[in-house]
Amino acid sequence: MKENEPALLLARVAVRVLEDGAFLFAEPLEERPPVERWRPVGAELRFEGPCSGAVRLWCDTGFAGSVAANMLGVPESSPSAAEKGKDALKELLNMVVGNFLTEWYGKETVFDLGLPVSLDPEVPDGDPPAENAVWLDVEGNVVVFALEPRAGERP
Amino acid sequence: MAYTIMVVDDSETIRFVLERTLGMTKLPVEAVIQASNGKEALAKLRDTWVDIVFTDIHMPELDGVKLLEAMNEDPVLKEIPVVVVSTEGSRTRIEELRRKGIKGYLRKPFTPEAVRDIILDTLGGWNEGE
Repeated sequence: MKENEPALLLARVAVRVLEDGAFLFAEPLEERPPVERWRPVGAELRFEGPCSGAVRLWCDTGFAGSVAANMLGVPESSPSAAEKGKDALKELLNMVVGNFLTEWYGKETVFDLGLPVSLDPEVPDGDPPAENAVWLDVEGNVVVFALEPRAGERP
Repeated sequence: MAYTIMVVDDSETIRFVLERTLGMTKLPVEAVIQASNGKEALAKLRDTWVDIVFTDIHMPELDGVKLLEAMNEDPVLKEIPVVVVSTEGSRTRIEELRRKGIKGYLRKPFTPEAVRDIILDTLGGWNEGE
């Protein structure tokens, strides 16, 4: 497998899960867009198996509210939208990672997935996740999925 | 006959989405009982009969596998069919769960058609509803 293939596969799976699981249409971005004015929220899911590490999701707080609206029917103006958006993001990440790992290593391979956790209020630093990150445009919102293998392991 | 269905998942999002999806299957559903982990599910199952349990695997307190094992040890609860709802697609893992007694496997994200089919098929036998 070429080095960039896991990221491309992650992008394909994320686009599909966003559409099927959250009714949101997404497309990969070829270049990292400016996101200086983000109010970012994130989620992380760790996995153990033939390759171990984590996948992290970063997006703007406003997008989390959109996910909550689509998946839970919570109005984006609702006071509970932000909190429910965090849970929806975690579940979205869970679906992406489970499907991604199955497609990456095949159905005979077993991975142990952790529980998804929220990462806010951390902010992605100026140098975004490296070679295994994918940037998506999801109905006008920037969403990042980053595959981060454990130190010493390469996807 | 209308079904009483239990949904066990620590994610409020998935409990809501699955309950909403059940409403889109056009199957007769009398009630949907929610539980946020296996421990809460067992407590509710001892008070209320349900026709089928949909459960996540990874949950705090008591996970889906331990819930299944606890139900198998109970002479009444072991009769209730259990469907695992998960993102995992490993055949090896699904086969392990099948040997432990699950009646079906529903892969997330799911469609109303997949949920409907697995309810109908599960009551009659094994179905891998991917």
